[in-house]
Amino acid sequence: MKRIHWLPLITLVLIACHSLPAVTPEEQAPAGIEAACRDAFPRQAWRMVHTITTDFPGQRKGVMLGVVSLVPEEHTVACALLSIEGLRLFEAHDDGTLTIRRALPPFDRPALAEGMMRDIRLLFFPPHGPPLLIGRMPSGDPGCRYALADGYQDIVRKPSGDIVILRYDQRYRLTQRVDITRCHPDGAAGQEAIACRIHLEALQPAQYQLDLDLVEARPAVDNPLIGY
Amino acid sequence: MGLAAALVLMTLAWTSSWDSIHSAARDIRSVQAAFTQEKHLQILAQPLLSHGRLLFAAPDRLRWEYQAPLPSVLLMDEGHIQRFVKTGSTWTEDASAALPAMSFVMKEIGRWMNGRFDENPDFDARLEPNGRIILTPRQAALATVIQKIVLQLAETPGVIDSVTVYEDDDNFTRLHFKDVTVNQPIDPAMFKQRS
Repeated sequence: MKRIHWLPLITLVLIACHSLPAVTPEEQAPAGIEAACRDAFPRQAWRMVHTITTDFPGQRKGVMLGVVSLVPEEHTVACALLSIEGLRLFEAHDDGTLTIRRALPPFDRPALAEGMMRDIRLLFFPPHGPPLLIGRMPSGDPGCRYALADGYQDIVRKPSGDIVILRYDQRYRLTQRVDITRCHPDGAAGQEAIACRIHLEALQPAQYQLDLDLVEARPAVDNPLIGY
Repeated sequence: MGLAAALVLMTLAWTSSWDSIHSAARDIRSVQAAFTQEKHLQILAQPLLSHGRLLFAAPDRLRWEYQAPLPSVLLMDEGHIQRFVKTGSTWTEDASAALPAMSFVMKEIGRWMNGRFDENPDFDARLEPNGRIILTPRQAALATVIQKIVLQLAETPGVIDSVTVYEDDDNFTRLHFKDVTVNQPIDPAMFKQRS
């Protein structure tokens, strides 16, 4: 009888605790899935320009241009935020050490720069190290789960080639969801596919949404981060 | 030959002094021009290119419109500034944090269109013999945002040929104006509506 009394309490505790979505291990070709997870991100150096649209209360939107120059091999990234007319509002470089080169108000808050670089790395760089798990995600799509210093990251490959990235904190709460549609940009035929449309939804701790649409992209075949 | 020389003298004469520039600008009631823009960034090997058109009606109405690659329009109508951006197939009013900075720029452009290059207390204005004007910030705080602005006046009185805004030596924006028409009527609605 006593055991029966415990059941509602256990059930409540289980409901209250978050847990990561189950990954069903894939027996066949896990190496292929792992490669697909890593190939979801750029392998070569690129310079990309996206429009960045942010939603504000009252159905208002803010639109800016985002320029990113990344070198996956060296894990370095330089980025700039511009007004649509080209006024440079923010510029930073990150090669493991974040260097802010220009930050006009209100883009001069240190937390903003760190958050921006974190988002850029989430969108364009695979996690360090091998996956914790490889298999089928709850959607049935193949994917990989990585253990991070501050949580977990799932990378899901959709049959269309699109990618979903899910970030969880250490308490297994979903903190960010990213939907990436890839394409071969104009003038870069024969190159790898890159992110043309990105929808990022941040849920924890700050809540915001960003939509990025590719304006132009060029492989950085010459010295990619010259001057830095 | 003599007539041609006289015409050259007449057209270049308007850039010879601040007084002659102010005098030429007094006759300007409106300007319409197409423009191409190059945005040079240190982190990009090649500049970002865009194009559009600019409409001005004295004393303080301005329409700065980009047609490609990202359609957008910045409107200044008697001091009131709005920006609209086309995202997908719809136009939305932009509420980004960049707008206050652009308000400063729009008001400055309005001054230039009125020939008042030397009237902004924030900038030291120097007129060079070849019709080039160099604006340099007086305050160090502004100099961290804009190193200098170089304006090249056109042969046509009251008209600007190009504007280059230097953020620093490696990062600058250059606008070239073409197909310029002066004192043609402009529908006032063009300064209020996105299209």
